[in-house]
Amino acid sequence: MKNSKISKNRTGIVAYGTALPKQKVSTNTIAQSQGKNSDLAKSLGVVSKTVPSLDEDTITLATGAGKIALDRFLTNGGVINDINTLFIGSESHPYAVKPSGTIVKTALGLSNYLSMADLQFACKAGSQSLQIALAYVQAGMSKNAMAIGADTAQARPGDALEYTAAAGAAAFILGNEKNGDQLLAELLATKSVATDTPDFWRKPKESYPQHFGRFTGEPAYFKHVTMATKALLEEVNLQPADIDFCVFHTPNAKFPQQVAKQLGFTAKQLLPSLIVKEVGNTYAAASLLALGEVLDIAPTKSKILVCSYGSGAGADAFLFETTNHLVTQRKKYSSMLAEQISALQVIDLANYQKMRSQNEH
Amino acid sequence: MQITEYWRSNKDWSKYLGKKGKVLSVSMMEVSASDQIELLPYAYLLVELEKEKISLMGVAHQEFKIGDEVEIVLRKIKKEASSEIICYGLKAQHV
Amino acid sequence: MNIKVIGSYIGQFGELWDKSLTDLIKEGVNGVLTDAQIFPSEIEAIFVANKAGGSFNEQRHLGALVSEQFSHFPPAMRVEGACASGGLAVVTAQQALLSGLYKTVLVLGVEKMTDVSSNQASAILATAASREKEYGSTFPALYAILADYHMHQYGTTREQLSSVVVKNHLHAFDNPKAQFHKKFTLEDVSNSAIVASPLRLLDCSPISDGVSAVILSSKKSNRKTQILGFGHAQDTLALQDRQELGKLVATQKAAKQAFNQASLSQKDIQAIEVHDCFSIAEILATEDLGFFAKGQAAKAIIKGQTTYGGKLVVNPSGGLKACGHPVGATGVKQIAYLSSLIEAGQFNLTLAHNVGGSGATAIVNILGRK
Repeated sequence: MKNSKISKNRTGIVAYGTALPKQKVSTNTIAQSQGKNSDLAKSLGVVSKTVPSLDEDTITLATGAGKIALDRFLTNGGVINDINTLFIGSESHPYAVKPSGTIVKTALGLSNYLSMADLQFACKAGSQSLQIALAYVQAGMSKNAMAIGADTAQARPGDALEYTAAAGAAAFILGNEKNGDQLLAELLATKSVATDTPDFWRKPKESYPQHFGRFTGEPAYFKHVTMATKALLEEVNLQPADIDFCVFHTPNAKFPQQVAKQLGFTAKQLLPSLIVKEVGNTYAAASLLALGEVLDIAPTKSKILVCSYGSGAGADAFLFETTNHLVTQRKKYSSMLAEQISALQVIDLANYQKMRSQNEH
Repeated sequence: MQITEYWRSNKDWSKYLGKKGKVLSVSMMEVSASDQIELLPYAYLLVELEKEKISLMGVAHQEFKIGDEVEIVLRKIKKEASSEIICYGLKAQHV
Repeated sequence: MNIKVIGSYIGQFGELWDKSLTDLIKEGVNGVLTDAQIFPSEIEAIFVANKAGGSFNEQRHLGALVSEQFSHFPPAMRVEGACASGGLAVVTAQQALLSGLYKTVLVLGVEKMTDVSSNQASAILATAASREKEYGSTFPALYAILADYHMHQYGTTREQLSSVVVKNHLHAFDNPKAQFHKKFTLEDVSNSAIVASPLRLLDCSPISDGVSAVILSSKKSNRKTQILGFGHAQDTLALQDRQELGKLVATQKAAKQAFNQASLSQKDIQAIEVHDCFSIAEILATEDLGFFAKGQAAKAIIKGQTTYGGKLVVNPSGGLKACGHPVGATGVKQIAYLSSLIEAGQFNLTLAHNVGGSGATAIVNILGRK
C-alpha cells in the first residue's frame, strides 16, 4: 500500500463525540403537515428526522458534540491547551459574520491560542473541516486539532427537502502519535474534488435553499462521490473488497445505497452508516455522524472509507483504519450515538409545526 | 442584556458545561421577562452541583421535578431582535 | 430614648392614573403633617423610601423632591433596599434619632408603578434579584422556587397557600385604603392562572401606586405608639448561595435583634404586618419571625389562627396582596397602619416585617405601648 504521503508520526482521530436534538418527527407526520400521502417519504427511505428545540442551533449542537469529544480526549490523557486548531463546517451558521467556533471554543474552555474559522461548502463543510484539521496536525502546526460538522438544516415547509432536513453535530479531535496505537483511527489517505455544479444554493438574504430537481443526482452527488472515492482507492491501491466499512453522504437513504453499489461496495459494508433512516440528513454533520456510528461499532484494524458530498459541488474522501485502542477506549464511553438515537422522543404534528415555525431563520 | 455584560458572563461557561447535579427546587414559568417570551413555558431551577448550587433556566420543552438528575448544557437564553447579537448561556437538561 | 410615632398617613393604594409621583409625595407630606398636628418647620430631616423611581418614573434625587415640599428645605436622603426600602428608611430614621442629631424626622415611602407597561414593571421588580446569577428568572419564579421547596419539605399544600390570600382579602375588605375590596374563595385562588408554578396569579401581590408617611420623634408626646425595638439583617442576594431554602435567615436574625432590643418575645405580640409579596412569603414570615415552628404555619393559617379570634392577627391591613404593594411605601405603611391600630386602642404590641428581594434584606420593627 502506497504510504509515502503520510508522515512518520501517524495522524488520525484521538477522540470523537456526537450530539443530536432530543426530539424527532416521523416523515408520515411531515407528509400530514404537507397534506400529502407518504409516498415520497417511502421513496427517500427515511422514517424520521431530528428536530431542534426552540433554544438549540448549530452552535449549541456543536458545543454538545465538542464537549463529549473533549471529555473523552481529556480522560485519555489529552491536554486541553494542546488543541490549537478548530474548524467548524455548517450550512446554518447562526451568523453571516462572526464565527460559530469562537462561541463553541469559549464554552469548551479551549485555549485562546487557536487557529479558527467557520467553513461553508454545503454538506461537505464538516468533512472539509476534518481534512483541514488533520492537515494542521500532520504539518506539525498544532499538536491537536478539533473539527466539527454541525447543522440545523432548514427546508421550506411543503418542499421535498422538508422530509430530510435535520439537525445534529459531530466533533473529532485529531492528533499525531509516534506509534499510532494511541490513535483511535489512523488516517491512511484523503482526496477531495471540487467543480462548479449549481445543484443547490442559498443566497444570504434567502431563508431557504433552492435545488434543481433531478440535476442533484447523477451530475452532482453521484459524479463527485464517485470521482473522489475512485481517486482515493487508486492512491492507496485498494479495492472495495479490501474495505470493511463504507460511509457515503446521506441526503436520503437511497443515494448512498445506489452509489455504494455502483462503486462495488456491498450492502453489508454500508449498512451501519445508514443512521439517516432515523435521524434524517444532518447536512454538514451527516458523513461525520455516520463515521461516528461506525467508529462506535467497528472492530480493531477495520478500514473505513468515508466520502462526503457538498452541493456546489465537491466531495471529500478519507480512508481510516481503526486500532485496538479504539476498542479498549470505547468500553469507557457513555453517550454513544446509538443510545442518543434510541432516546429520541417523537413529537406530534402540532408540536412539529410550532417548533418548525419558531426555528425559522 | 448589555453586550459587555453578556461578554463577561461567558467566561463562566466552561467551568460549568457538562457538570451534573440534582434538582433542589423548580418552578415552571408561564410568565417571563420580555426577552424570554418566545421560550415560554420553561422551567427555572435550583440545582445542587458537587460543591455549590446554581440557579438557571431549564432547556426548552423539558419539565422537571425535585430530585431529577440534570446536566448543564449551552443553549440560547433569549430570542434576540434582528440587530442584536445571539445570547447563549447555561441551561439544565435531563441526563 | 423613646422613639414615638407622632404622625401617620396612608394614601389610597391602587392604580392611581391621576396622580404623579410628585402628587403622591405632596399628598403624603400634607397628610402626615395634618395627622401629627405639628408645624412643618419641626421636621428636621427626611428619609424617602423608594425602590425604583429612576426606572418607573425617570426620577431620581427624591430626597430633594420631598425636601422642597417644605419651605425650610430639611436635609433629605433616599433609602433603597428593594422591597424593604420602607422598613429600611424607618430604621435609618431611628439611627438618626438615636445619634441625637435630630429629634423629629419624616419618613415617607412612595412608589408610582403604573406609568410603565406591566412587562416593564416586571423587569424593574426583577432588579431586586441577582442580575449575574438569576438571569432568566422573574421575581415570582424565585418565590415559586421557595414555595416548591416548602411544599416538598414540609407538605405545605396548594390550599394552604390559597388560605393566606383569602384571609388577606377578607382583612382588606374593611380597609378603605386597600387596593382591593374583593373577597375570594380558596378555589378562586387555586384555579387562577399559573404565573410560575406553584404560584398562581392570585398568589402574587399587585402592581400599585401609593404613598405612606410617618413622623418619628424622640421628644415627649401624648401619642401612645413607641418603636420598642428594630432589627436589620442581610443574607445572600441570590437564592443559589443561601444556606437553606426552607427559611429566610435574614428574617430570623432581624426578628431576634428586634425582640432583644424590645425585651419582648413572640407571645407578647398581638398583631403583625408581614411581607406577603407572595402567599408563600407570609408562610415563611410567620415561621421565621418565630410565631410558628418551621413547617407548621400553613396548617395554622388555614385553620384561622392568624386572623381575628386566632393566635394573632397577621396582616390586618390586607397585607401586600390585598392592600397593595407600592414597593417603597409598603414598609412605611406597615408602621403607619399598626400605629393607627395602637392609637385606637385595638392592640398594644405589634410587629412589622419588611423584606427585600428574595430575602437578602429583612427589617423588623416592634411597636406598641409599654
